[in-house]
Amino acid sequence: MEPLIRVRNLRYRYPDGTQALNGVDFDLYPGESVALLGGNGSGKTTFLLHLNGLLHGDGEVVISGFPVRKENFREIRRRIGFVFQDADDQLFMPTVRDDVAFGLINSGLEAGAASRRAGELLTQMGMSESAAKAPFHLSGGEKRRVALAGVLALQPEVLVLDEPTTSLDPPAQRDLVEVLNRLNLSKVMTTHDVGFARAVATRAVFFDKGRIVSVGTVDEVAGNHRWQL
Amino acid sequence: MHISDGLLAAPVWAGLGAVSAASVSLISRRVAGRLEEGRAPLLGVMGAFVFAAQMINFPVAAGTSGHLVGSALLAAVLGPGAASLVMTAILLVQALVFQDGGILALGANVFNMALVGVWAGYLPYRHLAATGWRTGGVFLGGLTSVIAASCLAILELRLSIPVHNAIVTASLGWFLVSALIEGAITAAVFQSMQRMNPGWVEARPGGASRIRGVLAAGAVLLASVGAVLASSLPDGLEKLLEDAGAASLARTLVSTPLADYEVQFLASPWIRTAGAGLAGLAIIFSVCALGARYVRRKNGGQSR
Amino acid sequence: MKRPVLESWAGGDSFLHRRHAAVKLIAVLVLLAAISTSGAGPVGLLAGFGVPLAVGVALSGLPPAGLLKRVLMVMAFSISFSAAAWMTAGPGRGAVLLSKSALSALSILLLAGTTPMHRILDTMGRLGAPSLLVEVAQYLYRYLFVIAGKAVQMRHAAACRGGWRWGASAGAAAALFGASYTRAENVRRAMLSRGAAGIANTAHSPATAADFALGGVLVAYIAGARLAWNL
Repeated sequence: MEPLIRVRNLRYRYPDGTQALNGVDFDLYPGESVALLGGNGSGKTTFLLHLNGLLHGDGEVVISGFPVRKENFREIRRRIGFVFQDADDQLFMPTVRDDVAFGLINSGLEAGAASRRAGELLTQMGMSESAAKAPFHLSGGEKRRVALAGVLALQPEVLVLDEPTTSLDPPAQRDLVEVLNRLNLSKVMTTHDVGFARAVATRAVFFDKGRIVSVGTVDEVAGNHRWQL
Repeated sequence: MHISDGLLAAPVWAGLGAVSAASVSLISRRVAGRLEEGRAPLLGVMGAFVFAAQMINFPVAAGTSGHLVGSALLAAVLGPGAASLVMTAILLVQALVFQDGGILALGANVFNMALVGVWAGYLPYRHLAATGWRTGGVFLGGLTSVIAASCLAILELRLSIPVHNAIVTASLGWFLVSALIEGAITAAVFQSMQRMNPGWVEARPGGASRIRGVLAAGAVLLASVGAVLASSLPDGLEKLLEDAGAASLARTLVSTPLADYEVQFLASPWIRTAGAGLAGLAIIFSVCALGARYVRRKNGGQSR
Repeated sequence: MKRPVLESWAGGDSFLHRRHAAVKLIAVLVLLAAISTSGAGPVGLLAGFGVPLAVGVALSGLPPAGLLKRVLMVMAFSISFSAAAWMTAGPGRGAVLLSKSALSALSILLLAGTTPMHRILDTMGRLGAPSLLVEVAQYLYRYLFVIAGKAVQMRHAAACRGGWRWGASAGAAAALFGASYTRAENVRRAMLSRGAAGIANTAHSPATAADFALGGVLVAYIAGARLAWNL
């Protein structure tokens, strides 16, 4: 079976000289959900940014058979749905409905149809009442749902989530777990929350100094590195 | 200094509205042509930054405090075209959301702060950025941008409203103080930014010349203050020009094309004064430009 | 930064709220131009323009006291110039300036209090404002309160440690710049991830008969008043 994501010997150095990735190998197969654990600055987010070409290091990154290169960005960015850590970064359009429609319009859908489709998605997420609101009127949990709706609108094959539980209260976290588990999608997520990882991920890897240093179930990996309170 | 609606005379807001609309649309197209993909948010966020930075107080003296205005800082960081666009967006949001400045008066406010203010702030920086006087360039930029913008505002108001000369002249002192504060704040913020991340404030390629930078600042300063003084101290300037033998030339230049129209408007002493003032400005500018050209030639014409 | 009260006013619902943004924008421009060019005295101004504006206030459902308070806030600038005009050209001229400023401010408040900001900007773009300017203003407004929130935190932190000092203020402003810069970079990434381009092509609804009626009545009133009473 062909992996959805295949990464070989990925290295990346930031312009300021920090070596953020130091030879990462990683595969994601359909149906898998992988949690990336590891300390701050261990390279997890830098790694995610390589999956749709936002950063470009040395080594091989292939998404569903498409090498990550400029001419493939369209195909790749359609397949990789990226949910950023701070929902405010992601919800840049003036209204919630416009934001969900943003990707749809870019993919060629006419504005009216995109707006209707956005309305449907918001209803599925239980957010139909906020459609006409400006994003800054939403709570943290609501923002996360809208961000997710805007990404799911493009029907990605893999959902990439960077610290999705940041600044969510426990009910909103539970709510997010429910939404994510309902989605029949492969997922890659960074998180510091082992409980969340256990609830959503099928396996885990541990990042240290820009390398993956251990793999296994969430409990094995967290146990190896004493990664809980 | 945001002019609100109801104060400006129709020819003033309409004229400046037309000038600003044309300039901003031209600038918008030029900036859009050069903007990298996904960079429009940067301009918007920079506008939000200037808004928010105005909430940070800078203690000045005796319990008073000032805050950043931002035209010169934006010009130094983003370049003049993008800075003009961002300042225009700021003025637009201020007028609509905070009623700071009017809507009909938007053209005048954009002209003063987003067009002239930004360019007046950019000129000294442009010449000094690549020399050892970089911070000095930012200081001068902050100073000239506020002086130019507020002098223009007071001139526009004076064209629209009858105001005693004494009030206009007195306001000059206040402008000078606020301009010095803006220069100091801009320089301090710029230095802090440079220490935190030199990449934020990289110098653009451009002519490096201390003399031209200082001359540019001097020209803007003289022109702005000169225009306000000319509008309120007619005899002084006219006498000065007469002594220089330039008044008759200026009067010929200014009045000849209009001499056939015996409109009462033109006969008003104000307009004559403004004419003399403009002529004076033209002379100051020419002297500075000639001086700059002379300096450039002496330096072997390496700048530009 | 406290979110401006206009933000919540614009979220309301009334006859004026439901009118098309383009009609309201053009109507306000016509009104402002009429106020500016009117040769009437203070009484004529207040009667001639105050009455339609009062009808507007009634149709908007906005709190009259709140509107008045905001008009007075805007007047701070005009009052000094009206005073200067008063001293120079007599009380009549000062009163005219004051009336014109107050009426203009109320007109703008009626537009901004019944129309969400993003809708006004969007409409300006449709009416021919440069598209990049509109886009920049949209992002500016979107992130204004996010970034101002950071500035408020800095203000609290400074207050807890004895208030601003010059160097600390400069450092805070630079840190705010850094945070804004990072924010812009993250927004760019999020935008590229969903296929880039920029703000454009949002769906909109056409103007209705009621919209045209509102605009028509206002323009007819201004034209009639100018002819009949030289307003």
